Amino acid sequence: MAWLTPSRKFALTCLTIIAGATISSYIEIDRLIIGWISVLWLLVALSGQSEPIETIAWSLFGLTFGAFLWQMTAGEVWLNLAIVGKLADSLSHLRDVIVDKISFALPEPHGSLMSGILLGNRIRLDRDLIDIFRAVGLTHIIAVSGYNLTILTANVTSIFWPLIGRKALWISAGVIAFFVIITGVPASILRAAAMALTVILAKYLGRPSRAVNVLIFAAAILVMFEPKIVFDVGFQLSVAATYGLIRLSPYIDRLLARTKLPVILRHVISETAAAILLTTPLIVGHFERLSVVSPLSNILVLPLIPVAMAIGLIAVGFLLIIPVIGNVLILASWPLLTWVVFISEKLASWQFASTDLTLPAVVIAGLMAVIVGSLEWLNVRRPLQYDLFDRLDAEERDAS
Amino acid sequence: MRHNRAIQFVFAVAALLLITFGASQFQAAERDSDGSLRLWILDIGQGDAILIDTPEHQQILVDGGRGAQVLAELAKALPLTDKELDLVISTHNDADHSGGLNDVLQHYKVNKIWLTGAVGTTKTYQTFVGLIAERQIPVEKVMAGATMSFGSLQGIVISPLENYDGITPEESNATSIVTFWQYGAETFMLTGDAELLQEQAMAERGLLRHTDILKVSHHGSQTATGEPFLRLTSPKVAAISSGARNQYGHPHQSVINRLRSLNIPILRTDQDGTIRFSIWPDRFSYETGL
Repeated sequence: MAWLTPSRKFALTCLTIIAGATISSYIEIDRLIIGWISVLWLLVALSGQSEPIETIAWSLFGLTFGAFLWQMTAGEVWLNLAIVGKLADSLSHLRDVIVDKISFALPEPHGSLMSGILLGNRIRLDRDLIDIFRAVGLTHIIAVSGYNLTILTANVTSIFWPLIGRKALWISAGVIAFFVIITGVPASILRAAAMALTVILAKYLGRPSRAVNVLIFAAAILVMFEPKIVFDVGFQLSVAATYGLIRLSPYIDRLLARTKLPVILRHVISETAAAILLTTPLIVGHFERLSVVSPLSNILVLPLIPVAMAIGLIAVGFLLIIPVIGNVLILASWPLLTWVVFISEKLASWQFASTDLTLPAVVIAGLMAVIVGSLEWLNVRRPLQYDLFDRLDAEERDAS
Repeated sequence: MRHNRAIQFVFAVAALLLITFGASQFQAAERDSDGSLRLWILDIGQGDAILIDTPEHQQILVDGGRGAQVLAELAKALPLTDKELDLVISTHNDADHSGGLNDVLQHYKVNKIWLTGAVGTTKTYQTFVGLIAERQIPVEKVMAGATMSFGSLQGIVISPLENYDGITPEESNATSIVTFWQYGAETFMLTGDAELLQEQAMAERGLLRHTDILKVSHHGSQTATGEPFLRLTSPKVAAISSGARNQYGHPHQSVINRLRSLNIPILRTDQDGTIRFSIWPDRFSYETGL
């Protein structure tokens, strides 16, 4: 039982909570009874039993507690976020002003694309262009998502880490909070923020960042607040993408290490490919559509998005204070955005860009199980760890 | 090391700015190369959106189509740093003409708006009025007789003959602002959705003259562009702005036949894409599919 470290045991409990909530959504159990059973197992787990009884007790506690949660809440969110929403109302004016300033500084569709990348505001974006992004699997760049927040966290941290060390994580957390509020606190962004904040927390506590455990913990917290989230497409996709990033991308990265690709490009390719592989079965399952060109479009476009974001953020800062400079500076994003639109339109015009594909849910679930299972097996046989911040440090070393 | 990355970023931004301004200069040089006035019939699907771009870089937009499509078309027609329109004419309140103007007002600095003052009943109209007030854009309510000049381009409103200010019209098309433009010896007419009745009224007042380029009224509907009108204006070329496979069956076959029987060449946005006329004081040419 050497492999059963405390953190793994904790992750297992978190996992069983998610499983309990999911199973409980299909059956009706008396909440009083399930609640009592849950408390009993908790008592057993805390009473200092020998292994493996303690682990079994924790797992059963997780299962019953998850089930209890679903029965109590019927899957609905029970935390009242009205206060944050009020704050968002007062900030939404600022958001409108920013979108307005960008609209007047850039031609279309570049302006809408920029506000989409920065604020997830896709209202003004041409419907045709949204369809094009969908066909080539790039919609995630115009929605503030786990992707945006991860990049933001990484960038802010890598800028401030050398200056103030660990305190940089507080700045990252502040920036994430600001983004959550300015985008109007939609559920999808709250979720992404919870993930990003958990990663920051883990790093701050100085734990060896066992990223998968952190991911499971974040997922469990979200499920505890809103059990029905397990059936949410966005939630499933962001968990799957993050999982791919953590587990699969180091292996792809190592494969690519033999080639003479530049380091940054190698990272982007391995991360993109991993995220795509893990999310594709889910996308097919939910949307019955398979974007064939999505790997290519993502690899061609994604490396530029952080640069465009950085230019956009700096330019927006100037637009609000010294518009003359901001108006010029934001034009630096024009070639990048032109490239994004050009690539998307070109790839979408290919006949085989995307195709309809319907698979039964069992096949999807089986496929996911096989992928996750083999990745875990691979991880046991030849462990490779992914850590965003270690990677940043490594890049630092490479560069110097 | 850290400084290195910052310097790299600054250099990257500088290089990107250089590319942007290079592209912008290239566009501007291309535009100025022949010294012509440009008249764009933009392909925005079913609807009207027409841009006049003078050699002195003054821009007049007549209608904006139904939605945001007009923005991408404008971006193709104008240098990428140009986010200013000197005059916007909203011919009437139908959504396929004024809908896109709401998007234009949100993305361009508009110096002046011409409209009839006729009151619309749609939400699009409410938004339009709200945006004009919010952005404090000067509005001029016009009827036949209003004139304007941009350099050597002269324009005059020849319809409607009534004042519609504050009135909710029964038939919105009847309120269409029809403009007649003269640049040197060349003339063109933008008709909005004016119908046979308005054509007759203009003819009776003697307001119709020879027109080199005619923007066919109401997307080629059979309720407009009568033979007397065509004989009075005797256009050298007719441009029809309509969407491919639109639900109204525009342009109507009878209008096409009428134009053909008078040997007037037809250009159609649904088949030719965006049409660009280059107009000099003594001649004009056109390109399609831009």
